[in-house]
Amino acid sequence: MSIKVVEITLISCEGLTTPDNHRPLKKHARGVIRTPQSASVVRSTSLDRHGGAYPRWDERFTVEMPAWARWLDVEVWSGMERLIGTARVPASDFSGGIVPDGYLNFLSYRLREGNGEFNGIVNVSVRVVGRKLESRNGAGFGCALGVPGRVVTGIPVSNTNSPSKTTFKNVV
Amino acid sequence: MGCGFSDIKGGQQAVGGTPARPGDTAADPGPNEAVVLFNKLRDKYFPSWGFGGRLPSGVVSHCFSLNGNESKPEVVGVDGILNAYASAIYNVSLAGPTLFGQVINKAAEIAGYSLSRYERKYFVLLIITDGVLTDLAETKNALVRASDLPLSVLIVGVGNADFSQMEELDADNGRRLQNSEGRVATRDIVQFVPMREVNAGQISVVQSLLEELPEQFLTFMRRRDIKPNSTSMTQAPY
Repeated sequence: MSIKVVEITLISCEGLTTPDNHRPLKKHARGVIRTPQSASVVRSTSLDRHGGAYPRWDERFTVEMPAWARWLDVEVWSGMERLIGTARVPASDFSGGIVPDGYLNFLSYRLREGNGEFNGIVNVSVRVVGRKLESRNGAGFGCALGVPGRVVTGIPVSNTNSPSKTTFKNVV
Repeated sequence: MGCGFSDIKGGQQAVGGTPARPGDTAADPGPNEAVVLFNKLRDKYFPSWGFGGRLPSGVVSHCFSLNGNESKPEVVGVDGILNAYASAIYNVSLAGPTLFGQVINKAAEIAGYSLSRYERKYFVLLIITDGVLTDLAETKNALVRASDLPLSVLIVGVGNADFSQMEELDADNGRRLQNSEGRVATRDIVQFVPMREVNAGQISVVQSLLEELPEQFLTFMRRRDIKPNSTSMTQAPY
Protein backbone atom coordinates (compact mmCIF):
# COMPACT_ATOMS: atom_id res chain seq x y z
CA MET A 1 0.00 0.00 0.00
CA SER A 2 1.28 3.44 -0.88
CA ILE A 3 1.11 6.32 1.52
CA LYS A 4 1.31 9.92 0.38
CA VAL A 5 3.26 12.30 2.59
CA VAL A 6 1.50 15.63 2.20
CA GLU A 7 2.60 19.04 3.37
CA ILE A 8 -0.34 21.37 4.00
CA THR A 9 -0.12 25.02 4.90
CA LEU A 10 -3.23 26.60 6.37
CA ILE A 11 -2.70 30.09 5.01
CA SER A 12 -5.72 32.26 5.72
CA CYS A 13 -9.46 32.78 5.52
CA GLU A 14 -11.58 35.46 3.91
CA GLY A 15 -14.98 36.75 4.91
CA LEU A 16 -15.73 34.50 7.88
CA THR A 17 -19.09 35.07 9.50
CA THR A 18 -20.74 33.71 12.61
CA PRO A 19 -22.89 30.69 11.72
CA ASP A 20 -25.84 32.06 13.77
CA ASN A 21 -26.54 35.40 12.19
CA HIS A 22 -23.84 35.73 9.48
CA ARG A 23 -22.25 38.82 10.94
CA PRO A 24 -18.50 39.27 10.33
CA LEU A 25 -16.55 37.14 12.79
CA LYS A 26 -14.89 39.05 15.60
CA LYS A 27 -13.46 36.19 17.60
CA HIS A 28 -10.12 34.49 17.06
CA ALA A 29 -10.31 31.63 14.55
CA ARG A 30 -8.21 28.53 14.16
CA GLY A 31 -7.87 26.03 11.33
CA VAL A 32 -7.98 22.27 11.73
CA ILE A 33 -6.93 19.49 9.34
CA ARG A 34 -8.73 16.19 9.64
CA THR A 35 -7.58 13.24 7.56
CA PRO A 36 -10.12 10.56 6.75
CA GLN A 37 -8.36 7.44 8.03
CA SER A 38 -9.32 8.36 11.56
CA ALA A 39 -11.37 11.21 12.87
CA SER A 40 -8.89 11.50 15.69
CA VAL A 41 -6.01 12.45 13.40
CA VAL A 42 -6.22 16.19 13.60
CA ARG A 43 -3.81 19.06 13.40
CA SER A 44 -4.74 22.50 14.59
CA THR A 45 -3.25 25.93 14.07
CA SER A 46 -2.97 28.32 16.95
CA LEU A 47 -5.70 30.91 17.37
CA ASP A 48 -5.38 33.81 14.94
CA ARG A 49 -3.55 36.56 16.76
CA HIS A 50 -5.66 39.51 15.67
CA GLY A 51 -9.12 37.99 15.51
CA GLY A 52 -11.79 38.84 12.97
CA ALA A 53 -13.18 37.73 9.63
CA TYR A 54 -9.80 37.57 7.80
CA PRO A 55 -7.54 35.42 9.98
CA ARG A 56 -4.04 34.52 8.79
CA TRP A 57 -2.01 31.60 10.17
CA ASP A 58 0.60 30.46 7.61
CA GLU A 59 1.13 27.30 9.64
CA ARG A 60 2.45 24.18 7.96
CA PHE A 61 1.70 20.56 8.80
CA THR A 62 2.79 17.22 7.41
CA VAL A 63 0.19 14.49 7.24
CA GLU A 64 0.18 11.01 5.76
CA MET A 65 -2.60 9.92 3.45
CA PRO A 66 -3.15 6.31 2.42
CA ALA A 67 -3.74 5.77 -1.30
CA TRP A 68 -7.42 5.06 -0.76
CA ALA A 69 -8.04 8.36 1.03
CA ARG A 70 -10.02 10.52 -1.40
CA TRP A 71 -10.00 13.75 0.56
CA LEU A 72 -8.99 15.59 3.69
CA ASP A 73 -11.12 18.05 5.58
CA VAL A 74 -10.16 21.55 6.62
CA GLU A 75 -12.29 22.98 9.39
CA VAL A 76 -12.36 26.50 10.71
CA TRP A 77 -13.33 27.06 14.31
CA SER A 78 -14.27 30.15 16.21
CA GLY A 79 -12.15 29.91 19.33
CA MET A 80 -11.79 26.41 20.70
CA GLU A 81 -15.43 25.28 20.79
CA ARG A 82 -17.47 26.57 17.87
CA LEU A 83 -17.17 25.03 14.38
CA ILE A 84 -17.77 27.64 11.67
CA GLY A 85 -17.50 25.40 8.62
CA THR A 86 -15.69 22.62 6.78
CA ALA A 87 -14.05 22.48 3.36
CA ARG A 88 -13.50 19.08 1.76
CA VAL A 89 -10.22 19.04 -0.20
CA PRO A 90 -10.35 16.24 -2.81
CA ALA A 91 -7.02 14.42 -3.18
CA SER A 92 -7.45 14.78 -6.94
CA ASP A 93 -6.96 18.55 -6.56
CA PHE A 94 -3.30 18.04 -5.57
CA SER A 95 -2.38 14.48 -6.57
CA GLY A 96 -2.92 12.10 -9.45
CA GLY A 97 -4.33 14.80 -11.69
CA ILE A 98 -2.44 16.81 -14.26
CA VAL A 99 0.19 18.29 -11.93
CA PRO A 100 3.25 16.31 -10.84
CA ASP A 101 4.12 15.38 -7.25
CA GLY A 102 6.08 18.18 -5.66
CA TYR A 103 4.01 20.93 -7.27
CA LEU A 104 2.95 23.53 -4.75
CA ASN A 105 -0.82 23.77 -5.19
CA PHE A 106 -2.50 26.93 -3.98
CA LEU A 107 -6.11 25.98 -3.37
CA SER A 108 -9.13 27.88 -2.10
CA TYR A 109 -12.44 26.50 -0.93
CA ARG A 110 -15.74 27.85 0.25
CA LEU A 111 -16.45 26.65 3.79
CA ARG A 112 -19.73 24.84 4.36
CA GLU A 113 -21.59 25.06 7.62
CA GLY A 114 -23.22 22.03 9.27
CA ASN A 115 -26.54 22.83 7.58
CA GLY A 116 -24.90 23.03 4.13
CA GLU A 117 -24.86 26.82 3.87
CA PHE A 118 -21.75 28.52 2.53
CA ASN A 119 -19.53 30.60 4.80
CA GLY A 120 -16.19 32.32 4.00
CA ILE A 121 -13.22 31.07 1.94
CA VAL A 122 -10.23 29.14 3.27
CA ASN A 123 -6.88 29.36 1.45
CA VAL A 124 -4.41 26.50 1.73
CA SER A 125 -1.34 25.24 -0.08
CA VAL A 126 -0.78 21.52 -0.54
CA ARG A 127 2.27 19.66 -1.81
CA VAL A 128 2.90 15.93 -2.05
CA VAL A 129 6.46 15.74 -0.66
CA GLY A 130 6.96 12.00 -0.90
CA ARG A 131 5.48 8.57 -1.05
CA LYS A 132 6.15 5.61 1.14
CA LEU A 133 5.73 2.23 -0.40
CA GLU A 134 5.13 -0.73 1.79
CA SER A 135 5.90 -4.14 0.38
CA ARG A 136 4.16 -7.11 1.90
CA ASN A 137 5.71 -9.89 -0.16
CA GLY A 138 9.14 -9.75 1.43
CA ALA A 139 10.76 -10.10 -1.97
CA GLY A 140 12.60 -6.86 -1.52
CA PHE A 141 10.65 -5.01 -4.16
CA GLY A 142 10.12 -1.34 -3.54
CA CYS A 143 11.01 2.10 -4.61
CA ALA A 144 10.74 5.67 -3.46
CA LEU A 145 9.57 8.47 -5.66
CA GLY A 146 11.59 11.62 -5.53
CA VAL A 147 10.05 15.00 -5.56
CA PRO A 148 11.47 17.49 -8.06
CA GLY A 149 13.80 19.94 -6.42
CA ARG A 150 14.68 17.66 -3.57
CA VAL A 151 16.85 14.61 -3.49
CA VAL A 152 14.86 11.78 -2.03
CA THR A 153 16.50 8.46 -1.43
CA GLY A 154 14.57 5.30 -0.73
CA ILE A 155 16.12 3.17 1.99
CA PRO A 156 14.65 -0.22 2.77
CA VAL A 157 13.91 -0.42 6.46
CA SER A 158 13.34 -3.91 7.75
CA ASN A 159 10.64 -4.33 10.28
CA THR A 160 12.01 -6.30 13.22
CA ASN A 161 8.61 -7.53 14.34
CA SER A 162 7.72 -9.01 11.01
CA PRO A 163 10.67 -10.03 8.83
CA SER A 164 8.43 -10.62 5.82
CA LYS A 165 7.43 -7.00 5.77
CA THR A 166 9.66 -4.31 4.37
CA THR A 167 8.89 -0.66 4.51
CA PHE A 168 10.62 2.09 2.62
CA LYS A 169 11.19 5.40 4.22
CA ASN A 170 11.97 8.56 2.36
CA VAL A 171 15.01 10.38 3.58
CA VAL A 172 14.91 13.97 2.45
CA MET B 1 -15.67 28.15 -33.77
CA GLY B 2 -11.94 28.15 -33.29
CA CYS B 3 -9.18 28.80 -30.87
CA GLY B 4 -5.44 29.04 -30.81
CA PHE B 5 -3.03 28.19 -28.07
CA SER B 6 0.37 29.61 -27.42
CA ASP B 7 2.93 29.61 -24.73
CA ILE B 8 4.96 32.38 -23.23
CA LYS B 9 8.18 31.33 -21.68
CA GLY B 10 8.43 32.50 -18.11
CA GLY B 11 11.59 33.99 -16.74
CA GLN B 12 13.62 35.35 -19.60
CA GLN B 13 11.25 35.75 -22.47
CA ALA B 14 8.99 38.72 -22.65
CA VAL B 15 5.35 39.30 -22.17
CA GLY B 16 5.11 42.05 -24.70
CA GLY B 17 8.62 42.01 -26.12
CA THR B 18 10.36 43.31 -23.03
CA PRO B 19 12.12 41.02 -20.57
CA ALA B 20 9.49 39.50 -18.32
CA ARG B 21 10.41 40.41 -14.81
CA PRO B 22 8.28 38.69 -12.24
CA GLY B 23 8.01 41.12 -9.38
CA ASP B 24 8.10 44.14 -11.64
CA THR B 25 4.68 45.67 -12.09
CA ALA B 26 6.04 48.04 -14.72
CA ALA B 27 6.05 45.18 -17.24
CA ASP B 28 2.63 46.24 -18.50
CA PRO B 29 2.87 46.18 -22.30
CA GLY B 30 1.51 49.09 -24.28
CA PRO B 31 0.24 48.73 -27.84
CA ASN B 32 3.69 49.06 -29.44
CA GLU B 33 5.15 46.30 -27.35
CA ALA B 34 2.24 44.12 -28.28
CA VAL B 35 3.04 44.52 -31.98
CA VAL B 36 6.56 43.33 -31.14
CA LEU B 37 4.99 40.38 -29.37
CA PHE B 38 3.03 39.31 -32.43
CA ASN B 39 6.08 39.74 -34.65
CA LYS B 40 8.02 37.52 -32.29
CA LEU B 41 5.32 34.90 -32.56
CA ARG B 42 5.61 34.71 -36.36
CA ASP B 43 7.70 31.54 -36.32
CA LYS B 44 6.16 29.98 -33.25
CA TYR B 45 4.20 26.78 -33.16
CA PHE B 46 0.61 27.05 -32.00
CA PRO B 47 -1.57 24.07 -31.27
CA SER B 48 -4.95 25.11 -32.71
CA TRP B 49 -8.32 23.52 -32.14
CA GLY B 50 -11.84 24.11 -33.17
CA PHE B 51 -14.97 23.51 -31.17
CA GLY B 52 -18.63 23.32 -32.11
CA GLY B 53 -17.96 21.73 -35.50
CA ARG B 54 -19.50 18.79 -37.35
CA LEU B 55 -16.61 16.72 -38.66
CA PRO B 56 -16.70 14.90 -42.03
CA SER B 57 -17.54 11.76 -40.03
CA GLY B 58 -20.77 13.42 -38.94
CA VAL B 59 -19.74 13.70 -35.30
CA VAL B 60 -20.06 17.09 -33.59
CA SER B 61 -16.74 17.72 -31.84
CA HIS B 62 -15.88 20.29 -29.18
CA CYS B 63 -12.14 19.94 -29.46
CA PHE B 64 -10.61 18.97 -32.81
CA SER B 65 -7.38 19.91 -34.52
CA LEU B 66 -7.97 22.81 -36.89
CA ASN B 67 -5.38 21.43 -39.30
CA GLY B 68 -7.14 18.07 -39.39
CA ASN B 69 -4.17 16.24 -37.82
CA GLU B 70 -5.34 15.09 -34.38
CA SER B 71 -1.91 13.87 -33.30
CA LYS B 72 -0.16 17.09 -34.32
CA PRO B 73 -2.41 20.13 -33.91
CA GLU B 74 0.48 22.64 -34.15
CA VAL B 75 0.59 25.22 -36.93
CA VAL B 76 3.27 27.84 -37.61
CA GLY B 77 2.60 31.45 -36.72
CA VAL B 78 -0.56 33.51 -36.93
CA ASP B 79 -0.69 32.85 -40.71
CA GLY B 80 -0.69 29.15 -39.95
CA ILE B 81 -3.70 29.57 -37.66
CA LEU B 82 -5.60 31.51 -40.34
CA ASN B 83 -4.74 28.93 -43.02
CA ALA B 84 -5.80 26.05 -40.76
CA TYR B 85 -9.05 27.85 -40.01
CA ALA B 86 -9.71 28.51 -43.70
CA SER B 87 -9.19 24.83 -44.55
CA ALA B 88 -11.28 23.67 -41.58
CA ILE B 89 -14.19 25.79 -42.79
CA TYR B 90 -14.33 23.61 -45.94
CA ASN B 91 -14.19 20.30 -44.09
CA VAL B 92 -16.12 21.08 -40.94
CA SER B 93 -19.59 22.57 -40.72
CA LEU B 94 -20.49 24.88 -37.87
CA ALA B 95 -22.66 23.25 -35.25
CA GLY B 96 -23.95 23.96 -31.78
CA PRO B 97 -23.83 23.78 -28.87
CA THR B 98 -20.93 26.04 -27.80
CA LEU B 99 -18.83 24.22 -25.24
CA PHE B 100 -15.58 25.60 -23.79
CA GLY B 101 -14.94 22.88 -21.20
CA GLN B 102 -13.00 20.52 -23.44
CA VAL B 103 -10.60 23.06 -24.95
CA ILE B 104 -9.88 24.55 -21.53
CA ASN B 105 -9.20 21.06 -20.16
CA LYS B 106 -6.92 20.34 -23.12
CA ALA B 107 -4.96 23.55 -22.46
CA ALA B 108 -4.76 22.72 -18.74
CA GLU B 109 -3.43 19.27 -19.61
CA ILE B 110 -0.66 20.81 -21.71
CA ALA B 111 0.23 23.29 -18.96
CA GLY B 112 0.30 20.45 -16.39
CA TYR B 113 2.42 18.27 -18.69
CA SER B 114 4.88 21.14 -19.06
CA LEU B 115 5.20 21.32 -15.26
CA SER B 116 5.97 17.61 -15.06
CA ARG B 117 8.79 18.15 -17.58
CA TYR B 118 10.20 20.91 -15.35
CA GLU B 119 9.74 23.45 -18.12
CA ARG B 120 9.29 27.00 -17.06
CA LYS B 121 6.55 28.14 -19.36
CA TYR B 122 3.42 30.18 -19.09
CA PHE B 123 0.58 29.35 -21.47
CA VAL B 124 -2.09 31.48 -23.05
CA LEU B 125 -5.25 30.00 -24.50
CA LEU B 126 -6.99 32.30 -26.99
CA ILE B 127 -10.64 31.46 -27.60
CA ILE B 128 -12.52 33.16 -30.41
CA THR B 129 -16.26 32.61 -30.28
CA ASP B 130 -19.52 34.01 -31.60
CA GLY B 131 -21.73 31.87 -29.43
CA VAL B 132 -23.36 31.84 -26.07
CA LEU B 133 -22.04 29.14 -23.79
CA THR B 134 -24.11 26.02 -23.35
CA ASP B 135 -21.85 24.56 -20.67
CA LEU B 136 -21.41 27.47 -18.28
CA ALA B 137 -21.15 25.17 -15.24
CA GLU B 138 -18.63 22.85 -16.92
CA THR B 139 -16.64 25.84 -18.17
CA LYS B 140 -16.49 27.24 -14.63
CA ASN B 141 -15.36 23.86 -13.32
CA ALA B 142 -12.61 23.68 -15.95
CA LEU B 143 -11.45 27.25 -15.23
CA VAL B 144 -11.40 26.74 -11.47
CA ARG B 145 -9.42 23.53 -11.95
CA ALA B 146 -6.95 25.37 -14.21
CA SER B 147 -6.66 28.47 -12.01
CA ASP B 148 -3.48 27.31 -10.24
CA LEU B 149 -1.66 26.33 -13.47
CA PRO B 150 0.64 28.57 -15.53
CA LEU B 151 -2.25 29.42 -17.84
CA SER B 152 -4.35 32.42 -18.86
CA VAL B 153 -7.43 32.31 -21.06
CA LEU B 154 -8.20 35.19 -23.42
CA ILE B 155 -11.72 35.09 -24.85
CA VAL B 156 -12.66 37.21 -27.84
CA GLY B 157 -16.39 37.49 -28.47
CA VAL B 158 -17.30 38.07 -32.14
CA GLY B 159 -20.74 39.19 -33.25
CA ASN B 160 -23.78 40.43 -31.43
CA ALA B 161 -24.58 37.57 -29.06
CA ASP B 162 -25.30 38.30 -25.42
CA PHE B 163 -21.91 37.80 -23.80
CA SER B 164 -22.92 38.51 -20.21
CA GLN B 165 -21.83 34.97 -19.25
CA MET B 166 -18.31 35.76 -20.42
CA GLU B 167 -18.21 38.80 -18.15
CA GLU B 168 -19.13 36.42 -15.33
CA LEU B 169 -16.18 34.17 -16.23
CA ASP B 170 -13.88 37.19 -16.31
CA ALA B 171 -14.64 37.77 -12.60
CA ASP B 172 -13.74 41.45 -12.79
CA ASN B 173 -16.53 42.23 -10.35
CA GLY B 174 -14.26 40.94 -7.59
CA ARG B 175 -16.27 37.77 -7.12
CA ARG B 176 -13.99 34.77 -7.44
CA LEU B 177 -15.14 31.98 -9.75
CA GLN B 178 -16.51 28.98 -7.88
CA ASN B 179 -17.15 25.44 -9.09
CA SER B 180 -20.08 23.22 -8.23
CA GLU B 181 -18.19 21.53 -5.37
CA GLY B 182 -17.21 24.70 -3.54
CA ARG B 183 -13.66 25.08 -4.82
CA VAL B 184 -12.86 28.71 -5.54
CA ALA B 185 -10.49 29.87 -8.31
CA THR B 186 -7.01 30.51 -6.95
CA ARG B 187 -6.74 33.61 -9.15
CA ASP B 188 -8.49 35.25 -12.09
CA ILE B 189 -7.12 33.66 -15.29
CA VAL B 190 -9.75 34.93 -17.74
CA GLN B 191 -9.88 38.06 -19.86
CA PHE B 192 -12.89 38.67 -22.07
CA VAL B 193 -13.00 41.16 -24.93
CA PRO B 194 -16.16 41.80 -26.98
CA MET B 195 -15.15 42.69 -30.54
CA ARG B 196 -18.21 44.93 -31.07
CA GLU B 197 -16.83 47.34 -28.46
CA VAL B 198 -13.48 47.27 -30.23
CA ASN B 199 -15.13 47.90 -33.58
CA ALA B 200 -17.11 50.77 -32.09
CA GLY B 201 -13.79 52.37 -31.25
CA GLN B 202 -14.43 52.26 -27.52
CA ILE B 203 -11.36 50.18 -26.77
CA SER B 204 -8.28 48.99 -28.64
CA VAL B 205 -8.18 45.25 -29.23
CA VAL B 206 -4.52 44.85 -28.34
CA GLN B 207 -4.76 46.95 -25.23
CA SER B 208 -7.90 45.26 -24.01
CA LEU B 209 -6.67 41.73 -24.79
CA LEU B 210 -3.39 42.22 -23.02
CA GLU B 211 -4.66 44.40 -20.19
CA GLU B 212 -4.84 41.73 -17.51
CA LEU B 213 -2.29 39.22 -18.81
CA PRO B 214 0.83 40.77 -17.22
CA GLU B 215 -0.81 40.85 -13.80
CA GLN B 216 -2.10 37.28 -14.16
CA PHE B 217 1.39 36.15 -15.15
CA LEU B 218 3.04 38.04 -12.29
CA THR B 219 0.53 36.77 -9.72
CA PHE B 220 1.46 33.21 -10.66
CA MET B 221 5.22 33.85 -10.54
CA ARG B 222 5.19 35.94 -7.35
CA ARG B 223 3.15 33.42 -5.42
CA ARG B 224 5.77 30.80 -6.18
CA ASP B 225 8.60 33.21 -5.62
CA ILE B 226 9.91 32.49 -9.14
CA LYS B 227 12.42 35.09 -10.21
CA PRO B 228 13.96 35.53 -13.66
CA ASN B 229 17.05 33.37 -14.27
CA SER B 230 16.81 31.76 -10.87
CA THR B 231 16.56 28.19 -12.14
CA SER B 232 19.38 25.76 -12.19
CA MET B 233 19.35 22.23 -13.55
CA THR B 234 18.89 20.73 -10.13
CA GLN B 235 16.08 22.96 -9.02
CA ALA B 236 12.45 22.38 -9.83
CA PRO B 237 10.78 25.32 -11.53
CA TYR B 238 8.16 25.73 -8.86
